[in-house]
Amino acid sequence: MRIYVRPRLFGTRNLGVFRDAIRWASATAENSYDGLKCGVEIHLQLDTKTKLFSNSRTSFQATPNEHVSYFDLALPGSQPILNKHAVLLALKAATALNCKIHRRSMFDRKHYFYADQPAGYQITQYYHAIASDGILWLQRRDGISSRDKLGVRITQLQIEQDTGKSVYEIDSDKSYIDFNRTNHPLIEIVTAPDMKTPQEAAAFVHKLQILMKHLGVSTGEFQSGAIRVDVNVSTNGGKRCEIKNLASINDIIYSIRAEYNRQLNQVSQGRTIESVTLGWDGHNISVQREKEGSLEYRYIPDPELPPLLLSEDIIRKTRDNQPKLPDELIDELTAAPHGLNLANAQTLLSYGLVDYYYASYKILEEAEIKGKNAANWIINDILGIVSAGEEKLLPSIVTPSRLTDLIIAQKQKTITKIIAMNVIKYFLQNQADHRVTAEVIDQYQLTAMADGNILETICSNVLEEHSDLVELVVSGKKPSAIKFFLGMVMKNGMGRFNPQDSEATLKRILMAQHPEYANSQK
Amino acid sequence: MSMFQHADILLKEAKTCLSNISSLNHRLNALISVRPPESVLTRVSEVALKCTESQSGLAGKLFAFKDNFCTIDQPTTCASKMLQGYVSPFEATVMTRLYKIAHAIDVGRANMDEFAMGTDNIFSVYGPPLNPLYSTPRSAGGSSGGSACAVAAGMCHFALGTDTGGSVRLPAAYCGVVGFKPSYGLVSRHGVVAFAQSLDTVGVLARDVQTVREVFNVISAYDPLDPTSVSNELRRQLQTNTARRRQASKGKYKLGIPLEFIVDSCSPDITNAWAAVLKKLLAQGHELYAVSMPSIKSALPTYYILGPSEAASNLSRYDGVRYGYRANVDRVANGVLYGVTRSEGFGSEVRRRILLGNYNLSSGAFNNHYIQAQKVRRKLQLNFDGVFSVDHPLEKPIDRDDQLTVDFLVAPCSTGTAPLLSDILSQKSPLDSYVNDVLTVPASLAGIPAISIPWHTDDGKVVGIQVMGQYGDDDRVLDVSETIMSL
Repeated sequence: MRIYVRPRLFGTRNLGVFRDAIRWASATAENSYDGLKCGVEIHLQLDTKTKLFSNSRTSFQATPNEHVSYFDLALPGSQPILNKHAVLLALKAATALNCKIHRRSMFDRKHYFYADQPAGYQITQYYHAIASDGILWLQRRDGISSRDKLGVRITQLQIEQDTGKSVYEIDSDKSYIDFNRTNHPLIEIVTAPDMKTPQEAAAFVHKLQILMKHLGVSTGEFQSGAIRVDVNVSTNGGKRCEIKNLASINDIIYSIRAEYNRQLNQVSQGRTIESVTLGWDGHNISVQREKEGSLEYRYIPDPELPPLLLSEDIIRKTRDNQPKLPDELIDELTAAPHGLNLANAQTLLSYGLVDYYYASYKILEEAEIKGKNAANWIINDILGIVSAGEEKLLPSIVTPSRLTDLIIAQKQKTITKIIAMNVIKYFLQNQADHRVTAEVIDQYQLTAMADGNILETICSNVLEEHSDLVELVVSGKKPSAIKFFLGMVMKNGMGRFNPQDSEATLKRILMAQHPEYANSQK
Repeated sequence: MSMFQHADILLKEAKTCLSNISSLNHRLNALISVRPPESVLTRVSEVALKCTESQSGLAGKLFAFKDNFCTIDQPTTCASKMLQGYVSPFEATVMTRLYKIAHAIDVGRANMDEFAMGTDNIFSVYGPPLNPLYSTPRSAGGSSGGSACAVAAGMCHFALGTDTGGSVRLPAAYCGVVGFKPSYGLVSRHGVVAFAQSLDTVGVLARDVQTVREVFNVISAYDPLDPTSVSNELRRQLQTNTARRRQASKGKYKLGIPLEFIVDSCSPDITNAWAAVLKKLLAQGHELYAVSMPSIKSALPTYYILGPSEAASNLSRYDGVRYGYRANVDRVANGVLYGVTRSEGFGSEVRRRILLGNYNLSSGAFNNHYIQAQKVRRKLQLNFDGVFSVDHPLEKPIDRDDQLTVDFLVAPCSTGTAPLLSDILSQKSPLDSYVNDVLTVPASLAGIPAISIPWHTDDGKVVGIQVMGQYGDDDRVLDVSETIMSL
């Protein structure tokens, strides 16, 4: 598979890192992972306003213990009240993963003592989870290289509580607990060991992240802890070992490789593989503790929570109201009439801008403007100037009609691209201003100038101010320095002169003033 | 009666209660914390002047409440070292209802077995209460021993307790007062410290059924904060059922004698009293039938598997990290996390039940013990459904032969009258106490309404007579209770 990475000022960091890692993994020619089997267990935080069994707010990086209710702290006499929105998101996730939805599921308590587990138990779904027996299909374009298609089976999807966070101080025997994260709704997704290489595991996780973000189920980000991944690794049918708490796609790939090697090593030394729990610190794999069996969770159905009963109606409605999934959208975007390349299609999808693009495309189509303008503008220009997270505002602030007005205006040479970008920045920073593009352009007198005299004056001034650099240009020592002058002209002209005219004017003045330059340009 | 006359009566009654507290509580140890008398009288005056007699039967009346109901002004300790000094930031829903809707006034917190685990109230960090009916130190029953004692000793008009396996009915029987356990889910448990959540039920103790009924009417309400609270829709249906059935029965009932309640361990006092009540009921024109519920034989072991299992789970939270008692270290070398805190903070009975519960929940025992116990519990509920003449409102109607069904069951509450504390403390095995629950746990497991009514025998003893009804038939259980009390 040919992978290419577009250079970006800002942007598809996740995608870029992912592609680098995949390239590395496939290029290192350790393509032989014979006998390797991986399964993953993924914990995803659900994107709800409030917690799973209490109405304190979910949060990330808030002041410690600012969003904690009585139930979160397991105060005596406090009781759980189920957040139905969490159930709905779990249902959406399970539907998109082609799972069998169980009309009757239950909540169970999993007991263990730890400071970040206030009740001494976690409420989860052990005996009867909400969904099971699903599948997610990967293709080559998702990052797998050794086969055309891979179906990763989802054995179980269950709803459960998140734990609190322990904070350790260096050089101290104290640890601190932040309960903001306690009781945040999670879904745990467990797969069968269907992945046979580290890439396949990474590709699966990445595809799941995109899918869940697309559905609005979870932000799916590693940085905020919205996704946490454990990987089970076995070699040649032996016992499986679990690598816990992998925090990035890279970690997944490299840790599986390391564990595969560790297991092969063990076997070659004549030892059998014991079922252990492992940690990955970024460089090394290390054994943490004996895996389950010695840990007694004493599962018991929660006596206060009745069975979760889902009607046929809600299951059907969730299925019927499912939006187009990423695969279908990528197919559409890469086919006619859009014909975007894969990377651009994936970019639009990962930023949640597909509908935005479609709407803009439609308006341009109706205005009979041909070409990949909407795509180019959104991907190449706009994403480059918005700050992280600001792209979420585009559909509502830089609406498709405002965007297409700008595109049309630029095509008609009413404004330059630079002006257009400035207008976009203006819209984002002045959200209360709801006027149409044309009015804003008018008010700020942003229309392109064609006044040759003004341009001439600006160019002359620029050349005079930087006469030292003029020498470099006309002598031929550094012809590209003309770009510097161009930049100054654009700046002083407030972008209202288009670059071609500006460059032509600069050259004309230089040629007039420096005959030797004129000669060299012939 | 004028407002002032009414206020006068309330103040007189309050002063009597307070006087009883000051003269008797030191010996009887019913209340483990007592409100300053002046503040109580002030409150009574305030309330008395605002409410007229017709407005609220409980306004200005005094009550005690078991130390496992959370309030925000004093520590809720559950008679345990583990919660010494713990002040809850929120109040139990029933307390709010009694304060704000009924305008009742509390006189203090009642003694109890630690975390509500016990049948004689001997497992309290404050020491046991004494049964006020006897001059020798006898058990007040458990776990709501303090509540029963306070009511019997005239320290208050009524008291709140909790009944998980008989903890309101048994102390009521021993102390000679009325002790009512409503249907599970009718009274909110929000703010009631959990022992076994599928069994815990808030109960009422008083000297007469009318007061019990008034309190029940105030505290029985849907609470959105309690996930097990019965919906308003179902409550309306229950009211409709009650009205219809009252009309149909016209005060004459078909009463059942559950054969499995005739156990060898019952003393002659008990069986004689039981027989006497039944004779009088027969004479009054009610019908008596013998009925059989085979699963009752397994009820006690079932309760002692399910109760401790849930308790072990609910008490996992007590580790001292966020509140409550915390030992000097969380863990000794190679020790279990929180082992020191929990060994020091919990009393012997609580530790016993947690161990028993954890054993039953461990993977080896789970299928054999816990799952089997749940199946027996279900069977027991179906047994009850089979003998009651009215349907369980939450179940599909079942086929039953109307001839063999009854409206209510009448049985004893305990196998004997209040034992001597010295006998209990010299018992060889804790199991000797557990068998006391054999007559009360069936109603707990089935979640049905049950009440203990004091029956005075000819030779001056008092025995608790138990009435049980179908789930949701609480009002009519109280009707039958009034009938029996007036016999």
